[in-house]
Amino acid sequence: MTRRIALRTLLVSLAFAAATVIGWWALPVSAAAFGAMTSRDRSGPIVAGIAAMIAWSGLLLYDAAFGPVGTVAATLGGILQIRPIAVYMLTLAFAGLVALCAAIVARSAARLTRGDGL
Amino acid sequence: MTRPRSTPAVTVVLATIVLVGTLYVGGRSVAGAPALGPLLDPVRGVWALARTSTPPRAAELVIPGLGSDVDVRFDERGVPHIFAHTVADAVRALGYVHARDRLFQMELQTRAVAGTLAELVGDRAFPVDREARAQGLADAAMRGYERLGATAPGRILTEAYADGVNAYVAGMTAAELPLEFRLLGARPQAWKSEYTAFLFARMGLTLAYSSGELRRPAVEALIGRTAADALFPVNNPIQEPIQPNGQRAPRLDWKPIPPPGPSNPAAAMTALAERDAHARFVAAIGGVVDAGMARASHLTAADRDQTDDVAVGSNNWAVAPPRTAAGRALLAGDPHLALTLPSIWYEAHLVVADSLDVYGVTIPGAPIPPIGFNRDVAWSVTNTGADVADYFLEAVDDVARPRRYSVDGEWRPLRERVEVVRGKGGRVIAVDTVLETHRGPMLRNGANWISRRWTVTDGYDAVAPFLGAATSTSVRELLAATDAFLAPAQNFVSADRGGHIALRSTGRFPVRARSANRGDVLIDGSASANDWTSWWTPAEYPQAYDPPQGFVASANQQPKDPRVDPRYLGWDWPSPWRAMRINQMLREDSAVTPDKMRRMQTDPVSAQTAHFLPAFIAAANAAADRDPVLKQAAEVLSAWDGRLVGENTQSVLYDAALGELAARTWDELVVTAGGERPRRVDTPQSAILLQLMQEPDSPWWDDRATPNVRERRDDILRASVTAAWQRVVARLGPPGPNWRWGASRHALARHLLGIAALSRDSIPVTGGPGSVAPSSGDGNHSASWRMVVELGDEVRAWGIYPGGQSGNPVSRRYDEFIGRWSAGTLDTLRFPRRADELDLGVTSSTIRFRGVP
Repeated sequence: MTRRIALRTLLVSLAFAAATVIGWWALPVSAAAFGAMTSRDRSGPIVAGIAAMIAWSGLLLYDAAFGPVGTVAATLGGILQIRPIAVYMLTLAFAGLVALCAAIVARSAARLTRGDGL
Repeated sequence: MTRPRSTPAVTVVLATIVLVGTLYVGGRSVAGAPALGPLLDPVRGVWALARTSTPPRAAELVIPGLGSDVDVRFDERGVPHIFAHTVADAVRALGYVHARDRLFQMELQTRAVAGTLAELVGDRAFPVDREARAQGLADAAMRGYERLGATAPGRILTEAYADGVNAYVAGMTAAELPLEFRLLGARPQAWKSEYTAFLFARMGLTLAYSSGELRRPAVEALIGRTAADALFPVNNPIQEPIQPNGQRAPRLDWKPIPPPGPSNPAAAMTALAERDAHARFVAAIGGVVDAGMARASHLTAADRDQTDDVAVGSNNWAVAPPRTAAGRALLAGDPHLALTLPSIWYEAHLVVADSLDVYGVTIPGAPIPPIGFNRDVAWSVTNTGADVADYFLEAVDDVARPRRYSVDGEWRPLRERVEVVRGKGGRVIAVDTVLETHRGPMLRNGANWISRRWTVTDGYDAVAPFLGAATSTSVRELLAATDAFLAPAQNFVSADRGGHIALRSTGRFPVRARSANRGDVLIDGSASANDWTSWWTPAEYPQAYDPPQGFVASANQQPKDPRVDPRYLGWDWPSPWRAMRINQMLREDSAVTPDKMRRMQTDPVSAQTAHFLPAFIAAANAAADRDPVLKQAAEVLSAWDGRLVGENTQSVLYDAALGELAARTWDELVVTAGGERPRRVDTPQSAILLQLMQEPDSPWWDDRATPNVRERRDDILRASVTAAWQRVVARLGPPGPNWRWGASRHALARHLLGIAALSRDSIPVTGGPGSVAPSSGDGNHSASWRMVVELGDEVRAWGIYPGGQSGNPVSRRYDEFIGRWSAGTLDTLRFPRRADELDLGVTSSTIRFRGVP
């Protein structure tokens, strides 16, 4: 069961990463689609939120393979007057939050459409 | 089968609110903060700067208009060596690499001149835009550009350059968008060839915008015209001119300074307010674009540090072979400007077989280096600071809404220029009508209208002289090529492989009408006879070619000895402390080496100190037996060797005492009328202070705050030392390691938008007031480039600037030179003749540009 959830989360992460290549806005769109598709599964939004953070973490790792991501965090942190670690957290929190909320809203909308209630 | 549990309604509502909120801040700029979505996007957002911080090892790219292939090899310092078959192609490639490394800088400086900053940064730049348009720099540059013929280098090369810039912008991926554009939520505009003319106009603003006339009324209101003439004289009392005058030492032209005349504080305050209106443009640019550059201008001299002349200090000198150890001509140059990140400079090497092989510092936005060297000649410039802007008091038909102005009793129509200032998204913020006479734009000064005649707004082909310099094969050729250089006037020092050296102050210097022969006062504009009549010819410029002394040098000081040529060229010249020290070192050394030249550029001795320090010590010692503070201070000052180096713990007291001395001596120039806080109208040069030191009983020494006591020179010297001691102790504690000079003087390289995280502060420096490398109090003004060139059979060169080649703050090349610049070292500059001379080991990346068939 746990392995199945983990595998599912990983696959969703890959999908979200691919969506982000189109544009950041594709992340909430794809999370909403995922939320709607898994409206019978209460864990769908949580999976979406976690998958989004994993997806963007993976993309950051990709960036890190080609350049000084730490310097980016330090630079942006300096501009925003926050610690570099907070820049990572802000990035992942943004991805997770937008995906989680999009999935919740879409799931509820799908359930309402089907007459299942929220 | 069980139905999954439903989500509580409150959770759904909350999720909807949060989603809307995150999408809103994700997609829109809120409260000036950039939209988070595109900013944090790990594919295209700010994180992508990590991927683009290092250019690809090898790339093959296309520039439309390219005649044939161009090879660009970046050396280990990130300097592009561009090998092309035509000059235009080389310049196209330069435009491309400039845009790749400095795109935001180019955009910002262009908009600052065009008056379109608010469209980029928002309404806070509106005052700057409004003033820029009132100044008419872009309008004048545009008109000058349009006058250029189709074959003028200023047109051909700027068009080619624009091809290169636009090729980069067109092919730029979202991941390559510079950080600043992301923060501002903006995209770069297409580059137009006339923007290069804007850049030169901007340099003119920085270097040739003298407006002493506008300070003058406030000074005269406080001390009268006679005293004002003495404190802000046309000729500096210490004569060590740029054009050698045959002296082997500075000449001290001491004259008694007349006492202050009757004071009219109310009139001074009014005049001050009027001056402030004119200062707004440069000062406003300082707040938004690059503060130090603005503060360095003559315009804000009234606001300068009380201690002394502004720390403006460009130097250059050349030494003839007989006075060098190796028998080869040597040249050194260190132009001082505001330190910015990215730097104003970008090193580049352009090679075109049989026609061009020049290495130098370019300015992103311009196609040819203004300072550099080729296989035969090296040159560097300092600012002349000549008075090339005069102000005319115009007689208009209606002060409230003028339509005409009177000249020789006849009414002439005013030219009207409508300026639409826009904000972000193209929203119209204001529509202004700027009025112009035949002299230039009019500015309202209280009840008066004043027009400005300024050489910088004449417009000309600024590229041609620098192209001529770059292709010259001798100093003679360089001088001929730079005949056409008009503004901002520069002191060109040059040396060639044939062993010749030369110096010339080059620019368009106006010949004023006999009736208005001084440019430092307001001129009556109602008579055409007061207009400028012609220009100095190049033969009349201050100059020297292979002078008997064996060297030439300039340090912004007065160019010509008035005993040699009394004509008016400017006024209020910087005290020649740096020139005195440079000339002293060059006179004393007949075996100069490149390394000695390098050390001279950061020499820690100030010629000023030798004049003031003994006076402080003597005055303090005279009262040491009855005043323990003066006793201690005298001991500290006596222990100082006069070197402004980081570990020294006495110079901080001297510096503070000198500041106190200027403030206390020139208290007549502080206005306190109208219940406003006291304001200093202006501060005479420290050379004038030294001149006054020759008169120990002068009324200028009297402290106005003590009406019942008549102070003399030594009283003020002692009061200054005491106050300085108390100030330094209060700030740094008792004498000791905390008094290290290095702890109080730093350099600051400020980011163009003033973002602290992208600036570099607390950069250790050597030097201080009056030294060859003067450091300003705020540290924002220092040597923007240091270069030493040896012109032997093979040219060898060294250089450094406080920054790095890349404008990307994430790149290691953003600030990689700063440490070595701070240490006073110079990098060896690679100068290969062919691409294959640059070893693979030192080639960091390559680009091969191919033309579109």
